[in-house]
Amino acid sequence: MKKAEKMFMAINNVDERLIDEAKGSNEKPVLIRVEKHLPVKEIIAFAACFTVLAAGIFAAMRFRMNGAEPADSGTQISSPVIQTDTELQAILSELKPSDDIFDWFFNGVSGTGELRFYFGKDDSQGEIYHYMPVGRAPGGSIDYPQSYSEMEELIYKYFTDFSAEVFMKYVCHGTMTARPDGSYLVSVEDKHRAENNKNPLFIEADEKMYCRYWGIDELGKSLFNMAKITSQNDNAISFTYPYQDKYGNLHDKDGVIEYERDGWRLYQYMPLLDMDSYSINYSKLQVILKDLAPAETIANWFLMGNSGTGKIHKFLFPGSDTVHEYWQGVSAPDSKHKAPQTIDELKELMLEYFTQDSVDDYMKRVRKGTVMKASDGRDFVVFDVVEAPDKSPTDYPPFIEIDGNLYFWNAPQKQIGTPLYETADNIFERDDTIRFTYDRSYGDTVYNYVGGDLKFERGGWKVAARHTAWHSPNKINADIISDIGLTYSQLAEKRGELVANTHDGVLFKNGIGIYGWRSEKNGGFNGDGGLPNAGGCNIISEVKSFELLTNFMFPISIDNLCKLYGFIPVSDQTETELLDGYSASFKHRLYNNVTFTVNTGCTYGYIDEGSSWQITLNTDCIDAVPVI
Amino acid sequence: MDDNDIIRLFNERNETALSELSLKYDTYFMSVAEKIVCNHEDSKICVNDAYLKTWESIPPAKPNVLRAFVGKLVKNAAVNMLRADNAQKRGGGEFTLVLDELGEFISDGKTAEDCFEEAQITEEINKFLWKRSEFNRRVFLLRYWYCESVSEIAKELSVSEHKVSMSLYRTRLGLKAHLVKEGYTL
Repeated sequence: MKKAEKMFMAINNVDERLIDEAKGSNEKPVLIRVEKHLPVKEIIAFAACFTVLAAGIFAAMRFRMNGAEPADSGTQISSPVIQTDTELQAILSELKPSDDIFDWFFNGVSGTGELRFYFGKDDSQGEIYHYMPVGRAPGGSIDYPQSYSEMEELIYKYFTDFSAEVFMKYVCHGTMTARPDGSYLVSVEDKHRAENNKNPLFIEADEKMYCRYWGIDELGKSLFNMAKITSQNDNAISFTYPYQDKYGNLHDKDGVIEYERDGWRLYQYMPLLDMDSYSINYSKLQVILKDLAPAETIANWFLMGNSGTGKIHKFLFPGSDTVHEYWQGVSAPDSKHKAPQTIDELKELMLEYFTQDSVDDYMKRVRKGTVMKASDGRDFVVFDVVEAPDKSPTDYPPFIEIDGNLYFWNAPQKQIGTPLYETADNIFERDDTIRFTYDRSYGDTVYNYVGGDLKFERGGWKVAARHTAWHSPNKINADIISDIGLTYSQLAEKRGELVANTHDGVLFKNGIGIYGWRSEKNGGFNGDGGLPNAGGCNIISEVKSFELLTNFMFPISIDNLCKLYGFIPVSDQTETELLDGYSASFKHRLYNNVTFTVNTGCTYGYIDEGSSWQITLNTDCIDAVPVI
Repeated sequence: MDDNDIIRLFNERNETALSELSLKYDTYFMSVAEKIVCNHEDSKICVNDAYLKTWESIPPAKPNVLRAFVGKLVKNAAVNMLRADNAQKRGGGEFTLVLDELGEFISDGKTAEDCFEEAQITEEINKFLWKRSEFNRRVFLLRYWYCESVSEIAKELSVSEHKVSMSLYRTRLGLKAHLVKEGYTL
């Protein structure tokens, strides 16, 4: 028998329940699907009733929203924007089973399970924890898993393999012993506590699973019946809801739901992302990239302005002999849209693909200019002087409005569409994100560029915001690094008045971290050096991760810090030191004159947003000019 | 009649069991067979053959899901018929495509008799599938058990064909990795 036939026959004999399930004999989970696209014609027709087009569109959106029915089971919501708290609550109350399951797993507080167990060795100190050996899931249809394998099965049922694998790492092993009073004692291996710096949420004891009881019945629909929207963007809704703590006090608590591949999902912080594990491969990524929703192509097209076959308009930039090229009247990649020629047209097009908030944010990037005639008859553009918040030339505004017309900045390289991702590598995937690197050239230099983030939003996979944001997020804060080498007076001018003088250095009113002047005595940076000395500052300490690595996704494994973000471990560190040490030092490909050392919060190879960094001028650069 | 009642009739050796089984599931079994043999008359033979085997199997067999239990027998009969005709590649339709897909998925050009046994692989497939999402499980079985086309599956599950293809691809890869991890040489 041939192999394929043999496999076919093996599949033929699978569990009969699976065969039956495939034909839909079981109940289906309720999915809430949100349609992202608005019918443009309707909007335009509606907007035509008003004198102002943009106002008309917005009104149309509101009209449609108000007309939308609550998200009953299976009902499709017909607008990308959730306008009312009632609509939010409808979503919350109809969250997919996986969300409830997830919360149920995490908090272990749902249902009506009895509390039967005392927790561990701390009992003697009066610290008693409870576990629910039996309880029902919020849907009332699933029991708490009673064994490790049941737990595993349930988790894999609702989440991607990757998430499930990560999740299962939370499950701690313990032992359970009977007590004379009939209750049980459960103890957990200490090393799990130490590693995770938190108490376990699940305990496996004698092959049974137990969930920690947190004392507050806050799960399920009742949790959200007072939810109020605080903000939302294309893929997330933030809200607050009343929360009663174990002392009976009421607080406002924040909640976030995010739109992921399978619908809305409660946001959960998963601190132990193993970014080396991924289940998507290069070819699958290519499929996704090629099938990106039109909105992505449009967004890319807006951003880079160098797609299509449109006519190139060359303009002489005043104050320079360089001729710059701009695109005008370019067809969008989907060939259905012409490049917008006015601000209103741009807004209209954007609203077709993005929410009002996103469009408003995006439009802030449009800069104004004026078309003028050069002596040789060529057009040139005079820009309003609006300096970009980041001075990187790659961050210049992609659009220029000139007398009501829009022009696109012509990026130095063609980076639009799938060719952008042909070199995709280092692929990492989680439920709502695919991240990868790709080669990107600046002049003659090719960098393995980090930024191939795809985010799953309401309309499907999208290029993540970093590609469309005006200031490119996810980067090292060059402003902090540029402080290295500045003298005390220069720093005071830049960072404000002195507020403290410490052993390690000085703090400025608007400074970031502690600025120090370490001398070279004893052959290095040893010795006191906090007080300002002559010359430039050569060390900045206590810089938090979120300040140095802006818009990074924390926690970051050291391995991925190097793989994805261009950090390079200093050569004399061992792998053990990097993963388990109190501190780890790096160089970075863009900043050759300094060494980055992460001091705290770096445990077991992970760096979180509160970790402290030290930026040190390399010893061989002490007399050199400032690095930036 | 309820499945349990039909099974009870089988256990009591009451021949009404066969007519009740046929009355309830004949259309379903015929569709399963036709996906493989692509011929109404042949399908009918396969289904009747399966009914006979069901009669011989219950008792002592205790089906978890009667429809699936007999469905397996129908498929076995259909595949055996193709083998007997030495025409497995001429069965046509989705069955051929399914075999091709499975062939590509595990093929290294060698025969597999000494590499794995069906029963063992089935057990591993069961383990693997129970760890997948319901959606992925259904897609996989609709394709490789029911031999439905991608477009039929997409329509049945109200999703895009692309999503179905991605799910199949991902599940095949996962299954292969799982089998390799469990020590099977594919």
